[in-house]
Amino acid sequence: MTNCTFDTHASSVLAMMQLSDSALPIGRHAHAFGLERLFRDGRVETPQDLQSMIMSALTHGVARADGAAAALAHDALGAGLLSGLLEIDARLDLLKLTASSQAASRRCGSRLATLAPAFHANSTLVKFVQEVSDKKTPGHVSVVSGAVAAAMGISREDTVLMELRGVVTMILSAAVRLDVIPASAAQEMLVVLAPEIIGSAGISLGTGIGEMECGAAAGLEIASMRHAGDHSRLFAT
Amino acid sequence: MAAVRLGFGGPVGSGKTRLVERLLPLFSEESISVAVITNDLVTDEDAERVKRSGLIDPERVLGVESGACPHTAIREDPSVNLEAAERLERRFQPDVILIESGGDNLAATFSSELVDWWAFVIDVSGGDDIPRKRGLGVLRADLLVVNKIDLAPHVDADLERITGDVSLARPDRASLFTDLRSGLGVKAVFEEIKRSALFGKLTG
Repeated sequence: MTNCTFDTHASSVLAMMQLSDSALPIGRHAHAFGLERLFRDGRVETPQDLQSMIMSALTHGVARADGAAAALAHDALGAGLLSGLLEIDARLDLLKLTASSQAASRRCGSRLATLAPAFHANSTLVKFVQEVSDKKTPGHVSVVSGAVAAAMGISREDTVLMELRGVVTMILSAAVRLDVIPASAAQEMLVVLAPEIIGSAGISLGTGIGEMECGAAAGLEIASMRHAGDHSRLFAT
Repeated sequence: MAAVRLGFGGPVGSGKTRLVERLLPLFSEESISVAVITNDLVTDEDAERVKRSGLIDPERVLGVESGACPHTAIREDPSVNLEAAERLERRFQPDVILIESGGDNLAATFSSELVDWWAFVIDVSGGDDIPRKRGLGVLRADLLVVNKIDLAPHVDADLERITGDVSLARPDRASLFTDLRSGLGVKAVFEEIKRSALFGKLTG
C-alpha cells in the first residue's frame, strides 16, 4: 500500500471509528429501541430472546428504513444535492411509526448535526445541518450520519454497516444495563450477529427511496408505544 | 439571552430535590425566572414531585430519562440535558435553569458544556468519611453542600471531623452545612449561588 493510499484509507477508517464510537455525544445512551418494555413484559429474558429481538429489529425494522436512508443520504451528499438529503429526511420521518422513535431519531440527529461542521466543511453538509438547526427538516440521525460519513470519506458500504452496527450496539448496551446479558457476552453476541448486520446492509444498499419501508416488526413498535406511556422507566425509548 | 445553568449532583437520597425545592421560593422572591430539569434514574418521580410542589409552573419542569447512566447524562454525553435546556430556553426564556442529576457515585461531575456552575450534595448519614475519600464530586464542585447535619448524632457521624476533612479537601472552594428539612442553611446556599454563579447580575 502506498503512502497516499494508506493515508486515504486511514483517514476514512479513523472517521468511521469516531462516528461509531460510543463516546460520540449524541444521546444514544438514553435509548433502548423498545427493549425496556419487552424486558418488563417478560418477552426478552434470555440471551436467545435478545438475539432474536435484535435480528428482528435489523431485518424487519431498520434495513429498509434507517439503513437505506444512510445509504441514500451518502449518495445525495456525494452528488451535492441538498434537495436529495431533505427528501430522504422527510421520507424517513413518515416511516417512523411511533412518536417516541421519531423524536429519538430527530434528537440524536440534531446533536450530530451540531457537531458536523467541526468534522467537515463540505458545503452541502453545512447547508443541510443548518436546515436541521433551523428546524426546517427533521434531521434524522441516519440521514445526518450518512451525509457526515460521505463528507468524511467513508464509503457507502461502510456507512451502512456503521449505521446498522450502531443500532445493534445501542440495544446491546441497553441490555447490559438492564441486566439481560453480561458485557462480555454482549461482545460475543456482536460477533455472532455479524452475518445479520452484513445481510441487512445488503438490503439497505439495494433499497431505493421509493422502496423505503416502515418497521415491519410489530412487536417492537407496540413495545415502543407502550413504553412511552410507562410511568417508571430508565430509557427515553 | 441563554439562561445561567446550575447543576446539582450527589448520591441518592442526599437531598438534591429538597435543595431545589428550598431554593425555588428564594429565586421567586428576587423575581428570578427559573426552570427545572430533573434526571431520574428509574422514574419521573422527582419531576412530578417538583411539579406538584406548587413552587413553580409545572410546565417549567422537565424530567429526563438518562438510560441508567446518570453520570453519562451530565458529563460524557450531556445531549439529552442540553436538548431539554434549549427547549426550556426557547419556550420560557428563564434567567436560570436548575439541572438536578440522578443520584450517582462520588466521582460524578458536571460537564462545563452543560452547566455554568454546580453543587455537590452529600449527607452525613451516607458516612462521615465521604469528604476524606475525596471523590471528584467533593473536590471539583463549585459548592459542596453537606446536608442532614441534624442526623449526625443519630448515625454516629462526627460533624467536627467532617468539617475538618471538608476544609482539607476544599481549601479554596465554598462548602456549606445544611439541614434542608428545616431549611437551615438554605439561605446561605442561595447567597453563594448569587455570589459565585449569578455575580449579582440577576438580583434586585
